[in-house]
Parts: sequence; C-alpha cells; structure tokens
Amino acid sequence: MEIQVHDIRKGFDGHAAALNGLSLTVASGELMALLGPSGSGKTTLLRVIAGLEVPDGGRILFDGADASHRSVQDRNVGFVFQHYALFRHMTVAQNVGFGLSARPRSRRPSRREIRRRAEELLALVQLQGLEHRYPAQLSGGQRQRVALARALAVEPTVLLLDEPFGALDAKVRKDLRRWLRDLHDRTGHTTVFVTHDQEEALELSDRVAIINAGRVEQVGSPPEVYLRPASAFVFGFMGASNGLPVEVRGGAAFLNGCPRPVADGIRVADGPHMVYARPHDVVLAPDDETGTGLRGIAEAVRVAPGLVRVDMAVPGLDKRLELDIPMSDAHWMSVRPGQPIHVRLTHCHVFGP
Amino acid sequence: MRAGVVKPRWRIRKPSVLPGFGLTLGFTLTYLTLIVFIPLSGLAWHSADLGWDAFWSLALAPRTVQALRISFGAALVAAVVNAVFGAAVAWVLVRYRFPGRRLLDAAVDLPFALPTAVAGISLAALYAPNGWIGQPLADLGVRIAYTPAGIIVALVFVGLPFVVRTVQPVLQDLDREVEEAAATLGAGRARTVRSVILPALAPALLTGFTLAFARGVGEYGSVIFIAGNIPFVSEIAPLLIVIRLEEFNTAAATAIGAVMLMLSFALLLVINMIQGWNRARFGHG
Repeated sequence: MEIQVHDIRKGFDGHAAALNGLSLTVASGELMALLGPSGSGKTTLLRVIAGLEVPDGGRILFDGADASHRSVQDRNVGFVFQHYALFRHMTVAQNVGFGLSARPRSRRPSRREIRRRAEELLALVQLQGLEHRYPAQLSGGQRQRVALARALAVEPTVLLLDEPFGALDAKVRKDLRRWLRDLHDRTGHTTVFVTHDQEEALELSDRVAIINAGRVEQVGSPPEVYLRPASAFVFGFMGASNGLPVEVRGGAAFLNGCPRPVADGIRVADGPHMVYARPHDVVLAPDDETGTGLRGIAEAVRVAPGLVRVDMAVPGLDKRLELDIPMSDAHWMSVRPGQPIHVRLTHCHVFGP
Repeated sequence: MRAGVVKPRWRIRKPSVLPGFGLTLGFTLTYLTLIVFIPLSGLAWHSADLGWDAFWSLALAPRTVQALRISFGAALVAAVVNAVFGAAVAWVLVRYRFPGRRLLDAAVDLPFALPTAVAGISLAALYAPNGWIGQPLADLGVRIAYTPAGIIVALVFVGLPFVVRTVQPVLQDLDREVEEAAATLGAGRARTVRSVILPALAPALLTGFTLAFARGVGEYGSVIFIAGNIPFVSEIAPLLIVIRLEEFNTAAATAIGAVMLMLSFALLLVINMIQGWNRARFGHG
C-alpha cells in the first residue's frame, strides 16, 4: 500500500503549527523512518496518517484513493504506541485477538480461529507460551512485541510505529531493531516509524524522512541523507558536527584572519558561508605541507574505545573544534593538552550562512 | 568449621528505610479501638447478654426482618443506580470542558455537606403528590414519596458523591492511548467503552458502589422524612431501632443493630475479597 501525504496542515491551539503543509510519499512495502527532534511534528504526522488526528487541511491518499475522511476504524492501519497502550485487564492472547473479536459479527472469525491467529502471531513475535500472562507480568521488550502482534492481527495495510523502541534499554533496543527489520522483510507491510535517534533511522529504514518544524527537510536512503545532506539542519541532526563561519573567495574558504584556506575546491558563490565537518573528518596534518588547514591548540585529550577525542581551540573561533582521531593514526600520541596542532578537513559540507 | 547458614529470624518489623512503623501502627490500633472496636464490641456484648434464643426471636421477628429487607434492598438498588449515573457524571466531568463544569463538580459534594434531614424534607416536598415532581408523576399513577421508591430516591441522593469521587481520579488517569489503540484495531465506540474503559474502571466503580451501599444501609435522617415509615412497607431498620429505643426496649434495638452489623460486615468482606482478587489478577493497585 502506497501512502501519499499531500500538503497536510495541522495546528494546535496556542502553539506554533505542528505541520506546515507537509507532503511525503511512502512507497509500497517500504520501511520509512520519520526522523526529527521532539516537537518537529513527526508524531503528529503519524497520527494524521492513522486518522487519530484530524488535519486542518490537505489530503491523505492510500494507494491513490482519498482516505482523508475515512474513520480510524476504517483505515485499517496497525498502530503501535510508544508506551504500548496494552489492555491491562486482558491476557496477552486476548490483547492480540482484540482486533478480530471486535469485528462486526458478519466478518468475525470463530473463537477458535481467533485463538489460532493469536498463537500464530505470538509465535511470529517469539512470545510462545506467554498467552495467559497479563501485560503487567511482562518486560518492556515483551510488551512492545505484544503491541506489535496486536497491531498485525487485524491484517493492516500499513504499520505505523510511534517511537517503537523509545522506552527500552539499549541492549533490548538493538535486538528489537534487527528483529523488526527482519519481520518487515518477511511480512512486507508498508511501515512508517517515528524516531529521534538518527542511528536507529539509518540502521533500520529503507528511506529516511527528516522532519523539522512541521516540514520535510530531506527524504532519501540512509547513505544519501548521511553523505549528501540537503541542509545544515540535516547535517547537524545526523551526528556530531563542527561548524566554521567562513568567507568563500574563488572556491576557497577562509576563516576570519587566517591566510591559509580551511578548505578549497568549493563550488559556491563568493561570500559568507558555513563549513561543516564531522569530528572524524578533521584529521591531524603535522607535516604542515598541504595547502589547506587550521592551526590551533589542543585543549583536552580523552581516550575513547578505538579513538582519541580532542578539543581544539582555534584563534578567532569562539567554539572548540572537535576531533575524533582513530588510534590507527600513530600521530595521536604526540597530541598533548596545551600543545599547538595542525589539522585538515578531509570532507566537509558548505551551506549558506 | 562449617559455614553456618544464617536462619532468617521471623520478625514483624523488617528493617526499612521508611521509619515510623511502630508509631503509626500504635496510633492506628488505639484510634480504631476507641472509635470503632469498643462501641461495636459493646453491641456484641449486649447481644450476648440476651441469650441465644431470645436474640434470634427478636432478630427474626417479622417486622424486623421486613425492615432489614427494606433497608438492604433499597440500599442495593440505590447503589446500583448510583454506580450507573455516578459513572456517567464522572465521565462528563473528566472528559468534557464546558462552562459551569467547576460549579457542577463542586455541587457533586453537596449531599455530603447538607444535613440529611434537610435533604429528606426537600425531597419529600418535591416528590409528595402535590410537589413539583410528585404532581406530574401522580397524574401518571406513580407515587414516590411515602413508598419504598421514596427511600431509594433519598439513598440515591446521599450516595451519589461516593461513586463520582472514586471513579473520577481513575478516569482521569486512564490512558487516552488505550482507547485510541482500540479504535485503530477497528473497535467502535460502544465496543471500546464495554471492553476497554469499563473493565479499567471496574475496581473504582465497585469501591464507589460499596461506599454508597454502606452509606445507604445506615442512612436515617433523609429517609424518615420521605419514606412514610409504614411498618412492613416503608419502615427502615435504623428507624425501627430508634422506635424500640423510645419504647425502652433496648434488647430488641440491640438485636437489630447486631444483625445489621453482621450483614454489613459480611457483604463488605465479600466485596473487599473481590477487589483483592482483581488486583492480584491484573498486577496493579
């Protein structure tokens, strides 16, 4: 099922608009991540698709058919809530079977069939043998999987997950992530999930939509959005970054007061810009022979697994530059706090000021 | 030497970071003894004085049995009515925002504050065959005041706050997402209320029902003005106790009191056991 979101607008009283004419297409069978900071409108978008929220304007199309006026019940979406929203007074099997037993009599499977379906789904989410437990007797990860099985029981056309791993600890989160990817590949549902964790979005999804202030900043595959960010916001959201205010002259970027350019070969018009680089794209260049680079003082040197983190003070720059030096670079041992160092940017992005 | 296995010594007081067990338990016991246990054991003591046969002949006198039946029956019906409408009132107060909501919310507590005699007299005036409500009802051939129905009306009035005030906080805490989950699974509104909301409210509803029922059984002030107090028809047990006392028949009054105590205690115990079983099952509370 293809989902088309067309120019959706939604405001909440007293707040800035949550969705500002947002458009997005989710291809059939795709696993898409909605990635953005909290308050960016990603959860609101998910709820609008599900029909839990009525938009002020715009349309939602399911496979080309307008679904904007269909009720939640008729949209046949599977929705997994961040805090699971399990029915506490029902057993695991009753929770999973709820959607089937709530159907009108004419379309309701027999009691035996519902039980069989529930057992089948619990096997799919690897919870066999827990049919008669109550949600309170399960761990967080188990509850999450019950919620997923419950959503899948109604044979939804799309699966929507709101921060599915938000409330779980790191280890369980990692396992469930891989497991969900696996499940998606086996069942082939069009799946949309909301997350604020870029690592989760990159690892799990076919495509990532980065949402900011109620709009889509960029949509693309994980390598696309990571390697070719469309805006400074996307670059910043995808990981740690260093921003340098520069003056571009003839394709070379100059930091205030330095004769040597920070980077060259830049294809933007002359004028003030921002150069962004990841900490691991700032490398030591002690021989000082290349044409570009920065001089500064190493301020703090901290060892992390496999790499050394250096905070570097650059004259004329009020923020510290962050460097991640791999331990395979033998030069790291010569970096001492208070000593001058010389670095070069191996890879950077330039955006407007 | 073999390693000694330390036997855990059984103690009432487990070491705890929350001090004050001794103090609070002592206070609780003293308090309950003075306020509840001594008066109630006085009742048991006097009943025992009567002797087994005398006690039962007084307790099972036809007029007493009928009065008890009316008291417990009317309290039960009133508590059921309150459970239904009290839940509806709580729902409206929690779920909707409308002008005058706070005023309505405050008005729910009025039956607590109003002297019961005042309530009884107002209700009697309203529901009497020449009253505002009683008149049209009388034209339809329905009589409320001075019949058992009048008792139920009075008990509904005094019991309402119990249900509303117990259900309200639970409803407030009820996760909206659970209802939304039911909707995404295709359940209509009626189905969601029946299968999702009501079961979640059940423990609070049962507590409110119990409190309203207990209050109804013991209610005296408001009922005697509207009931008509006809022996065997609309005479409640607490009134019969007062009548026996005025006749200086302490023995009979004691016997009725003791029977009411036993019945109430048995019913409350059963309801508490249901609650405990509920909690154990769902692992909350």
